[in-house]
Amino acid sequence: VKRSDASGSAPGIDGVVEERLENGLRLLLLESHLSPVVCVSVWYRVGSRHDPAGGAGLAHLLEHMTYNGTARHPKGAYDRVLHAHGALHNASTWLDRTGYYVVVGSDRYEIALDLEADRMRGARLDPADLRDEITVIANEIQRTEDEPAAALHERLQSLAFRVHPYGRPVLGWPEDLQAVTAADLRAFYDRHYQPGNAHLVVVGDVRLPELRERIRSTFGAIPAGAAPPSRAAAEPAQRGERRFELRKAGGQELWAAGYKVPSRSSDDSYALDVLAHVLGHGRTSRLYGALVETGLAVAAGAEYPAAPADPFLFLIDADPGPGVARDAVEEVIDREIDRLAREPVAPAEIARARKRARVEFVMRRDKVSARAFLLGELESTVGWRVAETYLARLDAVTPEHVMRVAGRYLVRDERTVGHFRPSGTD
Amino acid sequence: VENGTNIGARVRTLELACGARAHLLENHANPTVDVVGFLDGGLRDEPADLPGVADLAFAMLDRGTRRRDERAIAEALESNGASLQYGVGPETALLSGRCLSEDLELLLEVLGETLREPAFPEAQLRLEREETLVALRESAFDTLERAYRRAAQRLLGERDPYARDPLGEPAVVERITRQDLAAHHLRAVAGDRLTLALVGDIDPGRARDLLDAHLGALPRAGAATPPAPVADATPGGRGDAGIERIAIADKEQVDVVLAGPGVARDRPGFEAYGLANFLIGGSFVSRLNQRLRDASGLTYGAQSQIVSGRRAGLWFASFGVHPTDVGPAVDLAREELRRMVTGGVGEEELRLAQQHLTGSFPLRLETNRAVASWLLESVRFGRGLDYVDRYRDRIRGLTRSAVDEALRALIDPDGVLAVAAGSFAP
Repeated sequence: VKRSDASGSAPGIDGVVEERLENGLRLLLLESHLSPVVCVSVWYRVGSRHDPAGGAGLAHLLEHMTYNGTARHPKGAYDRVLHAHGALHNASTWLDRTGYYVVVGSDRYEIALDLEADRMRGARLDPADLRDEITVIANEIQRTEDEPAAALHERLQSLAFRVHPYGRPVLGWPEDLQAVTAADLRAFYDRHYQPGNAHLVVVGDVRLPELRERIRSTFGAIPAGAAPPSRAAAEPAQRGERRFELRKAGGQELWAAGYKVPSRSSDDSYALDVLAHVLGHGRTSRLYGALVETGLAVAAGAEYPAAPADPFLFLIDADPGPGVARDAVEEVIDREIDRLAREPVAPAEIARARKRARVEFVMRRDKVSARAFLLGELESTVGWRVAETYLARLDAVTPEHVMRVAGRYLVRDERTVGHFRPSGTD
Repeated sequence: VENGTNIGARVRTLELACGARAHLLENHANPTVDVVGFLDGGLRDEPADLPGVADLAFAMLDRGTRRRDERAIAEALESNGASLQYGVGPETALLSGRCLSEDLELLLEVLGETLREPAFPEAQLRLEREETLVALRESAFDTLERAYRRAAQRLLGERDPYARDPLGEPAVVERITRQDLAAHHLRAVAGDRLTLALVGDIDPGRARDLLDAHLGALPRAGAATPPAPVADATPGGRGDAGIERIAIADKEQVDVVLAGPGVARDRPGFEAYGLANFLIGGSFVSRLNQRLRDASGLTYGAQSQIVSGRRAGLWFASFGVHPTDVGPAVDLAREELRRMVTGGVGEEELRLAQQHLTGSFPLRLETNRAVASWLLESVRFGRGLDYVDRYRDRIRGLTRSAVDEALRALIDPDGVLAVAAGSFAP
């Protein structure tokens, strides 16, 4: 058992205890007695990137299917048992990971440990449930398709990543899902749902000695299982802008661009965080001033989603104003980026980004699930210790560094641009 | 919230010089404060010829005051990671803010200033108006929104605050002027209509000083016209066996809304109605989810809720399905509702729901904002500040016959209205 107490100074994340069970399961445990609530979450390092060719959506389908009973708990029992204990629970699948969580009163959290341990190796994956579950997911896919912004972003990702599996939709393609067999699902489960490929994050009103004991008697009983060998994937350099148009029913034109950027493991990621704040967070941001206040756009924003393990996209969105040509919006965005690449941002802009990040950390303490998600998400990709050093790294970002990353990454040859034009408007 | 018992006894209630009431609850677990409040009135304050003026007026409060322009307000809040939002509902206007405790004065200063002396600048009005028009255009393509509005309008009449779109009507929004907004502000913002809850890391003495300083000088409604009482409309629309279909081109999925009259929240014994609704569509294991998702895979999920306040509003359930499944899904849902009304709630079913609602209670009170909202609801519906402490006993005390009666009152099996919106098969 490896153990190390963290003593980072970042607010909201002090006191995380990291351990490992003999079967390979990593544990991140954090006592927090602010309210009598515990979040138990289990994260598997399997996401849409691990879907096999021709099987887009398998990881997400598996997430759904693990709710349909285990050897010890018949179909429906998971929901019923947690329901009766007043627990709230859900799951999500994303690019690199699948996460399950239960939030429950601290006097009964062992039930969540028991059920989640059962899920790890005991899922029945009954072939009889497969068709209905695929229909449910088909409904989920249709919902996404009916959301113009979601449909636009899914296609943006598809076009930006032609080789890397990040190009595949997490929910999968209906045709691929129809072809999935129970045997495919079982093999995928056996490969990825192993203690060595998962981490258990528990945050809340627990006492560590008792928690450890309960983890040992539930997860500790699972035979060792290794993580599948990780397969590196890389997207070749883009070298040239890619563009597409999407026509569907909708009431508003949308514009979105994704620029290839490095992941959180890069030193540049902290400067990219600041850049996203300066460019597109709130009414003090540059895009708000240049696009919204001028009436060129109705909304505009920028985001650097740092959670993906591999290089992903810096996203800029703008909803062109009525009668405003998309080109006019794009011109202003290019001009703002160009300015960021040439002139250092004002110290006040950096200070604002820092303070907001700091406050977000403090606010996160309000909910055990928010801290569990932060730890679980980071541990799925770059490691949870990023949370310890995050604010200090952000404090170290200089105007010059922001300028450098703007000039290096926000370039046309590395961007993909999508335009949603409501059907019926020409 | 820390020591989540005896909350009622720990709340301090102040009345400010302007007649506003503020309920303060200390929770020093985290250095943050949540400020939540409501002003009686909401959409009921709108003149008949100006639907949309309330939402526009409140959305404009933080876009400029007599002292500061929009950017200065945004700068003050965003530089400190603080937030402040306004919104309008059928019976109240809502406000909600959050900040680090060190920034409470700043937040209350901005709150007071925006409530007291908004400037409604013309340039910002153009932006806000455009945002509203875009949102209205988008909602015309939103299948759930369309089905819900139509059902509510058939039940309550087109002009009812529970039925009409709070954003108003495009033709009216186009012509709303600064003067209209100023007039609405005079009508709607008054100290004696305002109730606040401050929960978090506060020193009550200092909070009182700050509230007096920044909100004490709000005008009183005094002799001004109080919000006109709107009688509960005689339900004009009772459903029939049919399904009203609203065609929206180019959609993958159809959203279905089933609806009937709701129930006022200040009605004694409201808990029975809340629990009845919870059984219908309030959880993963609700009757509608068991029937439509688990047993038949027809939908990604079904929900139901009572939308009401001091007025009865409406009850509705919703689910998204494939266009070819609309008929069968509605039949199944209606059949299940009929079964609930005729067969009543099972003993075990009731016990599990009671366990869930009482067991999940600490989870629902985890954040300061949630506690603040509970306090405000309790005050608004005459339940008393200690309702939060009594709630679990109220739920435990519900009998089968009380819940059966609530089910019968909520659901008229022959009169449940069904509206579906989406692209139907030709």
